[in-house]
Amino acid sequence: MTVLALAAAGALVAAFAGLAAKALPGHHTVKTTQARVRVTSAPQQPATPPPLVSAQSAATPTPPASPPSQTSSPPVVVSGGT
Amino acid sequence: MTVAFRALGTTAVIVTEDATREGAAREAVELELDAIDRACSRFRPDSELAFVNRAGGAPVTVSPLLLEALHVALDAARSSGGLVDPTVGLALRTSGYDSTFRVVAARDAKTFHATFSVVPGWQTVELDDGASTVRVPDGVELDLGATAKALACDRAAAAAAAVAGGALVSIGGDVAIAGDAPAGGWPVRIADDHEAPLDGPGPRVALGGGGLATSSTTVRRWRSGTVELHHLVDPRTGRPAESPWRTVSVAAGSCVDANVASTASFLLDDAPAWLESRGLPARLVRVDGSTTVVAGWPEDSA
Repeated sequence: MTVLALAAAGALVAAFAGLAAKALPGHHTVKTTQARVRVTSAPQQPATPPPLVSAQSAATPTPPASPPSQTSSPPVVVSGGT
Repeated sequence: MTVAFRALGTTAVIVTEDATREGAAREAVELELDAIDRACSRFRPDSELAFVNRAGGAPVTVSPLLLEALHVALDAARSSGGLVDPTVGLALRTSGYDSTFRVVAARDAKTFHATFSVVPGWQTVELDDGASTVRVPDGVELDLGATAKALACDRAAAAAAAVAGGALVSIGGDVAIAGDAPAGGWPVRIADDHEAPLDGPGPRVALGGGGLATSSTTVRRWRSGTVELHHLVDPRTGRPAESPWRTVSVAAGSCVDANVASTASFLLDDAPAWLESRGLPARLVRVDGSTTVVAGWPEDSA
C-alpha cells in the first residue's frame, strides 16, 4: 500500500509540474510550434512511391528445352503429390 | 549415387553421377534447404515469414532470400491469373492445415471443425525492393508452400551441380535438374504419391533438364467431422479445390515453372488447353483414372 501511495503521489506531482511548466512565461512553446510547421510542410514535397512488385508484368511459365521422353530405365526418383 | 533425407516437412533426394562428390552435394543442398526453411516456413514461429504474417500491417525488412521467394510467389500469381496465390495462408490455417502435416494428419477429426476464409488476393502484397521490405494488410497471412518448395528445389539442384557437375534434386516429388544429365536423361517414375516405391507400375519418363512437378489431392488429406479436406485451396473460393483432376504432372524450364503450371492446372477444367497453349508438356489424370497427355508428353505405354 505504501508503495502504491508513493507512486500515486509521484504521478500527481508530475502532472501538476507539467501543467505549471506550460503556464510559465518563456516556456518553449514557440519552438514547438515551429517544429510542427516544418513537419506539416514535408508532405508537400513530391514523394517517390516504392516500386511495388504488384505493378510489374506477368511472366509465363517457361517450357522445357525438350519434352520428357519415354524410358524403360530404372527410375531414380518418383514425382508425385506431396 | 542417391541420398535421401527429411527436409521441409517431406523427403529430399539428391542424385549425382559422381559418387565422390556425394558428401559435398548433400552439404550444399542442406544449406539451401535450411535457409529456405528459416525464411519461408509458415510453421516455424521464428521464420521470417512468420514475422511478416504477425506484423499487423506494418512493413517488415526481410532477407534477400525471402524477397526472392516473394517475387517468385507473386510472379506465379500473375502468370496463373491468380490461381496460385500466396495469400491463401489464413484459408489454409482455418481449414485445418495449421501445422506440419504429421500433426494435421494425427488430429482427431471428431473434435476438429474447419472454417473457410476469403482469400484477400496477391495484389494486397507490397514489396519494396529498394528498402527490402514486405507489407501485407493486417489479417492477411502468406503461405509460400506452392512455390517456395519448388524454388528450394531449383536452388538446391544448382548448388549440388556446382560441386558435383550434374545433379537431380527432388523435394516431396518436385524435381529440378542442373548441370550435366546422363545420356538419355534422368529417369523419373510418375505416381499419385511421391512416396510410392521406385519399382512400382506406371509411366516412367526421362528428363534432360529443367523441372518437373506433380500436384495431387490423393495425399495430404484430413477430415473435419465427416468432411474430407485437402491442401490445394482454390483462391477463388477459399476452400479445398473441387477439381476434375486427380493428379497433374508438368515439365517446364524450371521446377518453379512446373509447380506453378501443375498447381494452376489442377484448378482448371480446360487445363489441357491451358497447358498446350503454353507449350508445357503434361500428363493429367482425371478423378475417374482416365489420362490425357499434352504438348509432347509421351503416351503411357500399354
